Amino acid sequence: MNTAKRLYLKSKDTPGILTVFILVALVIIFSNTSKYFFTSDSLLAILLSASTVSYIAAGQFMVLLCGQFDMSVGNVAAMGGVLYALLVVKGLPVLLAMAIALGFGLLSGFIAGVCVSRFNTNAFITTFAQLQIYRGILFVLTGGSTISIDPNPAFRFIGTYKLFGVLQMPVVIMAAIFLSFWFILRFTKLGRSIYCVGNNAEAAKISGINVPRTITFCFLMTGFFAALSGVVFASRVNSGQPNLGATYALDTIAASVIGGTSMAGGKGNIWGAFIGILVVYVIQNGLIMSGVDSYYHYIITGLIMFFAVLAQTEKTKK
Amino acid sequence: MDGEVVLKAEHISKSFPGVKALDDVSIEIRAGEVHALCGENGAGKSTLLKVITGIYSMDAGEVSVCGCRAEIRNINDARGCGIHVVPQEMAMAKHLSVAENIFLGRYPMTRTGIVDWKKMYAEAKKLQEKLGGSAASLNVRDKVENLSMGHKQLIEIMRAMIDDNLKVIAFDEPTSSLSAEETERLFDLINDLKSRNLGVIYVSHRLSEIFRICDRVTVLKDGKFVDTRLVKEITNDDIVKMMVGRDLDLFGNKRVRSDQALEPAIRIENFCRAGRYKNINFEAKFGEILGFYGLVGAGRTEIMRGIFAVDARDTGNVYIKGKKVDIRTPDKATKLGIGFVTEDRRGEGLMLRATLKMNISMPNLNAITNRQGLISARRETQYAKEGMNRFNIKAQSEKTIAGTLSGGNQQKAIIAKWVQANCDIIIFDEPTRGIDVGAKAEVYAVMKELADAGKCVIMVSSELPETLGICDRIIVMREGEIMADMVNDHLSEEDIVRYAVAN
Repeated sequence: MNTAKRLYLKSKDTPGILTVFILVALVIIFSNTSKYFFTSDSLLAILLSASTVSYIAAGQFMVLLCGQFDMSVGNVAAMGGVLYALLVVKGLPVLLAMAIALGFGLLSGFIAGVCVSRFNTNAFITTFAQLQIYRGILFVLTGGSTISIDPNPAFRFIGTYKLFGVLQMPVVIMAAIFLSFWFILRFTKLGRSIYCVGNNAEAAKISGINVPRTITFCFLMTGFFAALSGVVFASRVNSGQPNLGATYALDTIAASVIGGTSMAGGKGNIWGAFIGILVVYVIQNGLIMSGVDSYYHYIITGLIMFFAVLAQTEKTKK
Repeated sequence: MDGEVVLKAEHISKSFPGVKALDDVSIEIRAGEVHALCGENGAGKSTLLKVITGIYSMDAGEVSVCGCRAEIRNINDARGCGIHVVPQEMAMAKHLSVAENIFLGRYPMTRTGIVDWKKMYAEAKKLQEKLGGSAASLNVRDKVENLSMGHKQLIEIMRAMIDDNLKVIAFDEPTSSLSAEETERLFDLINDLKSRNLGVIYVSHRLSEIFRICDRVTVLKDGKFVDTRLVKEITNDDIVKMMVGRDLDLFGNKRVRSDQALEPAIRIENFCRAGRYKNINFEAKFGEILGFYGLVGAGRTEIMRGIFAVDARDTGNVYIKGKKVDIRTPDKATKLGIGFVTEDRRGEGLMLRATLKMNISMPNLNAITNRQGLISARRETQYAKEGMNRFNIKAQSEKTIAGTLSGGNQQKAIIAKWVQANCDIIIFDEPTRGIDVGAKAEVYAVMKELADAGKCVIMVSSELPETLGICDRIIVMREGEIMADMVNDHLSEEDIVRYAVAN
């Protein structure tokens, strides 16, 4: 009993641990409601579908950590994918097309970062405005329809290549991103600055931390990794999709929060965000495989998120 | 003291995990008295107020109002019993009018269930007239946003006065952010409340105020009741002794300073900022404590923020060790070895939700990195522990969350972070505001120790005794200008006040 209680209390201190329990519980439930769920094929498929969004979740986690939001990620991803596909169709070399798509992501993040940190605009509104602009550009570029690619192995490399014949590229990239973010946050001065800015930007400023630069860095991360996510997705499905990512912003914020990240900034664990995004995708895929009517998905996903967040809140004692 | 007992709290106990905040404390308030509540930080004053007003539930004890036992479970129960607190941090809806703030949560309604604005403004006016004095100068339709702290306090008092059955009004550190003039007005007002036969509870760290306006004083120490005494029968030292349980020499020995051989540390030349300060020239030396005295709003904090580039300035140069430097951002200032212990401890000093070690290492991350430039947990722990030991910070460990520490320990943590960062020039802005005498004495000792070790210490303070008590040299400011720059040699309070206030 005492051990259990201690573990519970410890889990409150360590953001993310509770999320692991939630994930395990979901896997157990879905294994019982669907005989296909707990097979290596389907688990790998879930991991693959979660992987591209997880890049954004990692970036979003950084932005949340310094006390901001990025609502534009979904359309930045769509822009990344569409630019990549469109430029390849126009005959540009694959690598150049990719560089332009990723460059767009960096530029978008840079604009958001500078507006929020130097001109003190509200992050929610700023990135929401960007989202609208990109949605418009996407319509102009594609007329709303998918851009298909003629067979082109170079285009498909980043989304479908299997490292050592087994490891899917999107999953490898996911691992690389999360490991490097973990390293940055744990060991570098930049990572520490992000925590400090999120905790108390005024105190951080007076203690000599360059607050605007730190915030801009975080927005660069969401911009870049959202574009990368779009590029990898386009490569995986062999097309550029202008409607990609409508739910990405909320999915990635939910992932971080389920993973124990404080919405006020300054507190959170990158692995919590990782498990969080898996939770979101396990719910979605598990429900499909269990044959639940798709209309109910939103309700159930919402409810699970609701309780996950409730379980994560710190108790305020009187 | 022969008024009727309006509030009686007996044998109150309250525990939080790990601490007994109140242990069998009793207090009684009579009608028509101002009753001071004294004690060091963490002695239980605020907890007692919160128990009486139902914000905290008590573990044991009994509260009675006018002789009847009262069940106070929340702040509304307390109001129903006629008990009201004017808190230290006043919570106002800043975009609403004065009248709306007075009636917040209790708007007068018409029969159809909509807000009766006419009645609200009329009632607010009536309250104003009832209070008189500076309350009369308020316009009840003005927005609260632009009002001074003193006026916000008036709104809180008017909130209390809505109730006709108001019996007890408690002030929690009411003067901590008031100017001298506003403080005087508050004292008039409290005397007025007293003459209306209300019981007034007065919580303050400023002992001189207690002697000015209080009738009785109750002292708490470590959550326990020490004594209730008549103010006219005791002295300042008696109260301090009751609070800390020993005689306390607040300022310690006067430092012996050899001023001829001191090296210049920082020189400020021709600092100006329109509307805030002008023609500011001064020099501070290594090994001395330079005091900046003046009334609230004299421009002292603004100059320090200008040096540190937290706020912009119009003109002016900074020389460090004789060399001109260009400080555009705070990180440049910290790199040049300037530390800034800000006035607003919680807002600008600490990351309240982060650990002590993260706070201490914040200004000097280079010190906790290894050869590869990566943060080393071992180094950080060691670095933080050094700081904690050096300044005697009382916390369970370096992993304690900063926000859970007492005010004094928070202040010491901020000092530790700058000293650990090897700053040679440390600016202290109101370093003892809101901390108890014991912690004050420690902060003074630290400042002297730093000066003795050859650092340059600059202290901004609005308290004369501490300015005279520990500074080697005192600069007096008035309305944005330096009025005097004096060596603190047999100076009296009058010598300084003469320059600080206009004739």
